[in-house]
Amino acid sequence: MGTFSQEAMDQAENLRREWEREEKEVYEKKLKFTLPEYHNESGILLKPVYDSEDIADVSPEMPGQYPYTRGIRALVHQYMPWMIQQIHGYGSGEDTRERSDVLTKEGMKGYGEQRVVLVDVDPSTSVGIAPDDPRVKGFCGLAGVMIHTEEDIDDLFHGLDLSKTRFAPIPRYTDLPILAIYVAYAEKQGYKPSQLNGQNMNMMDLFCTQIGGPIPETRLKLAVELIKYCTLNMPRWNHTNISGYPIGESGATPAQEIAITFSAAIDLIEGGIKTGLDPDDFVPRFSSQIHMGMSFFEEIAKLRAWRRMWAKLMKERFGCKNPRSLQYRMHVQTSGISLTAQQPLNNIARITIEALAAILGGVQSLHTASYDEAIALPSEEAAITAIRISQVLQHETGIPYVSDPLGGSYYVEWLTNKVEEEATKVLQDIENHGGFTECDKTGYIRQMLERESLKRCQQISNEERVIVGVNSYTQKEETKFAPFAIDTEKKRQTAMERIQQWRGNRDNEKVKEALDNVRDVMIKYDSLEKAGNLMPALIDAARVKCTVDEMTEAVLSVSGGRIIPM
Amino acid sequence: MVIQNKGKIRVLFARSALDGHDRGIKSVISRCRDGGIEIVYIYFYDPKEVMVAAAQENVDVIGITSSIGQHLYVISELEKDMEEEKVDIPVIIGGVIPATDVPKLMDRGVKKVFGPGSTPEEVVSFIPQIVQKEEL
Repeated sequence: MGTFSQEAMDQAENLRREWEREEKEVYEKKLKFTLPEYHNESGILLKPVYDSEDIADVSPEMPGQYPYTRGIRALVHQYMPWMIQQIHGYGSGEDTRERSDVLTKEGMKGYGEQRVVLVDVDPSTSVGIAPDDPRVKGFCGLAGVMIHTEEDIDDLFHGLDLSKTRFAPIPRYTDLPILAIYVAYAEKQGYKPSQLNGQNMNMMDLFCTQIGGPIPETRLKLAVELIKYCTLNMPRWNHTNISGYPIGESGATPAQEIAITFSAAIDLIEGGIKTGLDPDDFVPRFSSQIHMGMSFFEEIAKLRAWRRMWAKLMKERFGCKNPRSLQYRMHVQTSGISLTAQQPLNNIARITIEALAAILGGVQSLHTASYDEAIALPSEEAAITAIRISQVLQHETGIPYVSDPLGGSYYVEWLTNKVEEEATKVLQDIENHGGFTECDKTGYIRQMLERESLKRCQQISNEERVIVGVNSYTQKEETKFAPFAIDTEKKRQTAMERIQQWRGNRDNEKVKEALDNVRDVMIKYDSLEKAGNLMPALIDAARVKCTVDEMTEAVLSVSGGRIIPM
Repeated sequence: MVIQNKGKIRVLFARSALDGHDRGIKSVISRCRDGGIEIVYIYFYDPKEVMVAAAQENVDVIGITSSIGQHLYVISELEKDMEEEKVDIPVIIGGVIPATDVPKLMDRGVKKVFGPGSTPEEVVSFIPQIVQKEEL
């Protein structure tokens, strides 16, 4: 963009001077108004106005062109609008299937009209503890669906064409056993692993949710196993979700979210390379889940900077040549932390603003939150309203008609550069401290996030930061709001009976053999170079009806167990 | 008469191991420490562990955090255990707790519910009100 004639530059300079004069004369002198120093969430000092001078160093670029600042496709939303992919799930497989059906009917759909089963799992599934274990008493079916056996998978999927269905469960660290059961289930229905479509998380973000789990080295091994197995056997499967969402929810600024997410991705890619794979073979199957907060322009700039930094990193650091390795496909989730329990309908405005930022930032896929999330599990009504927000933006605003509509904006282009600069600094800092896995172990990243989170909390407490309905514009009369809740004890009772029946109706000799084999394979998996054998062992175990919990225990019992950092 | 609590007020904060939401409780802990309150912070699977830890640590108050809907279960179990074992320590709870559940929690003996929108300052100023300090 830096190609302005001398005449135009002189004219711009004159107008700038004039603006500065007016600002001084009118506001400072006459109105005695001192312009405050505005910093955005990433700590970048903002100017009160931007002009051509601020984008003098921005190189010309079109959407769909390297480094993809303006979008990974020439047509960002015209050919294919963003997918409406809503994370859902609670209670039993049946409960969640019912919600899934409702959301699908109301407009939830994935790439190429695929059925979407993008589900949060409950705590017992997340950590692989069976419903009849007293440790999960009081938690069964909360905040996600229970998946322990192939029967639970069948409750979610019966009657669906699995080759046109996208299964994306969101557990903390039971990804491999759940995938193994899904593969075994699909096999019985006549599908090969290569026909299946869906995604896994990557287990690298466990430091965000302090519910414990395998030690960082084991997590890396499990994530790399997914990369290796899926790259060789499941070409349609997104084996790794490069997830910034929990990092954002834990307090990261937009720049920190990029940096921390990238640092985890770097460890995963290096791990994948160690298994003998070429990054161009597996990086294209990275998917994402990005956090979207309320700092509107900064979040737009974040997405633009994110794509540019990713493209450069893949090309320059990892020597990727496949364009799909360089094109970061974005799924964005509007934030939970910005939602308030007070005056909950206000959240619809917040979700809309965040969704708008995501769309202007050029996302491929969007989850809009439910306005009652700060109070309880999303009700059906709130979950449908969330879909409607996306649909209103898609059909009523004309926003999808133009690719990267903010491209060339003095402010947005400048801010994109600044967010990139700041994120690069944080990434460098993490690398200087030994990289992601090391910083996960030492708690360095965790502390970074806690500082931010504490700062935000203090700003809200002392009203430095206005949150409408919380510390300002409060109403005495509380909104009457009947929260959506489930009877977890009832859910647990049913789940207990089912899993006990499941264990009774199988060949337990074969189960023992299969689990012994899983342990053996895990013991031999002593370096990343040896990845690729654990998933087949787990699929064998799933074929003889092993449960998520048994497989998890087998893997963890020989690799350091579970730890809960506080 | 005996001074029951020499020096600082001690509070046990407890989080269910399976509920990873800890932004709120971390802020509360930080502010309590600034306010001169001594903190013991644990995670637990069985609510009974909370009672045992509270008794061992000789704390003045128990604070539970709950963000994914386990509040009624945890409080019911904890208050039941404390009644059986005759442990008398005031309990407060905070987190994502629907307003409609507040009366149910108070019925079960909770001293105060710090639902969404509560500030750490409110917790810090409330705690001394329920700590019984016997005078000389």
